[in-house]
Amino acid sequence: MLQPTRIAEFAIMIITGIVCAYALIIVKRKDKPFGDMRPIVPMLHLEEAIGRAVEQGRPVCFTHSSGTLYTTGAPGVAAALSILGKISESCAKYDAPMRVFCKGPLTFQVSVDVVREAFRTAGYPERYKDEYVHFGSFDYFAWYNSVMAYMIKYKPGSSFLFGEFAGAGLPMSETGARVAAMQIGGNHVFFALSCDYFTIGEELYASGAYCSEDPEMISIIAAEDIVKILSLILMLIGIIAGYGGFSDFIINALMG
Amino acid sequence: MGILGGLVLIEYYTTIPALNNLVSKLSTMAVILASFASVLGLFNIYRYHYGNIKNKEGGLWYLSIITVCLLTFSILYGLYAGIYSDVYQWMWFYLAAQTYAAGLSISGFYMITAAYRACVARSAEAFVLLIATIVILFGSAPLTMAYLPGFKPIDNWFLSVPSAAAGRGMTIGAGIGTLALGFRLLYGKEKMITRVGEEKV
Repeated sequence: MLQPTRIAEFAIMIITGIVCAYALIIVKRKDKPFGDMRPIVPMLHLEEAIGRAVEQGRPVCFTHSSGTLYTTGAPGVAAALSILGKISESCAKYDAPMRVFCKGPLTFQVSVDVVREAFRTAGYPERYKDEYVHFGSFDYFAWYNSVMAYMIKYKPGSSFLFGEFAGAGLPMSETGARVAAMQIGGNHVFFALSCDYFTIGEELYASGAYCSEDPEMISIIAAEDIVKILSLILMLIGIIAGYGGFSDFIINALMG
Repeated sequence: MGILGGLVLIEYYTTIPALNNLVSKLSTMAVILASFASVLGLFNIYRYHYGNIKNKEGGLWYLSIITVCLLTFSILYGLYAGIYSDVYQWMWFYLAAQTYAAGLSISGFYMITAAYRACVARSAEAFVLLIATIVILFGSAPLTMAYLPGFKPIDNWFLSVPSAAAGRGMTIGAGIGTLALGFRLLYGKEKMITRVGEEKV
């Protein structure tokens, strides 16, 4: 019944699911059961970047990478969409013109809904304009060239690059640096060079929860940390077993 | 959404024929929905460029005319003569492929400016990065590899020990983060996305 090659993955998935459910139950019973979440520095500067663009009278540029919602880059795009909601709320508040560049048609439709909803939540639905969310192209090169062309022509005051970036991350962030935009990005190694603030590793996936300040969303970040501790314990057991010479015994016991 | 997501997730780990068939049907439905989204995307491109042309958007409207003409021609000609016809192939190999090559070649220049920025030692961390960069550069560049072979083992050590350790740590963290995000979506707790359509009081 279970795929024999996917037992370990299944076990990790089940454990993570149970720990997440446990965190959700605990958070309903107690106030702040896991304490405060450490600040994700790039998220502290989102409003500052938008404010800077408003002061300069320049637009805000956002792109959620070349990933789509149905490929391997989907988690990054989902996380980016979550951050987009927060950025759009701030743009609505300060009446900052924004431009969201989408690569996939599905991402485009979801982005339209997220941005429109964020304007509504902020209390300024009339400030939303259709041109704020733009379908660049389904083609990779056309999409990233359209973002770069926009940056060169309109010189955005701030640029947000979130998602699963491949080769396009460097040209885009360098173009942003060239037009002196305040840049916040994640996750691409080159963002360390070109962006003012950037997220590393799982910070991107936690950013949406951090921005929302919602206890339920933050509790799942705490669950993530519990799974990380379990993984570390597992790794330590693996190291001890490897050096102790009984790793084969454990593998045989686990695999039956 | 959560139930469907859960079903697809369980199907990945199991070999239940009924579930496999159901997920296969769901995948087909997703492809059809994505096709509709493509049509909407195409409509949006036309709408955007029509707006540019109509408003004589500064410096863009003539580019919009070219885009609309090329897009319309390629759609109509592709439907009429097929995508393997000479004209269509010419458009691909002599217009699109060349533009891609030009776009990709720009990355080289951006890499140089980014590398220059990386090599400016403004802080202690940046100085360490600079030293590591020089060692890896000396260990990997053909000229220095030939004249300074002593750098190669240090370069290998940098790549296989500290770099790999940090990379694996980040990969494990990102993997667990992805799982947690997945569960957040499955449980309907990713409110920044799933709040779309909620009624406000």
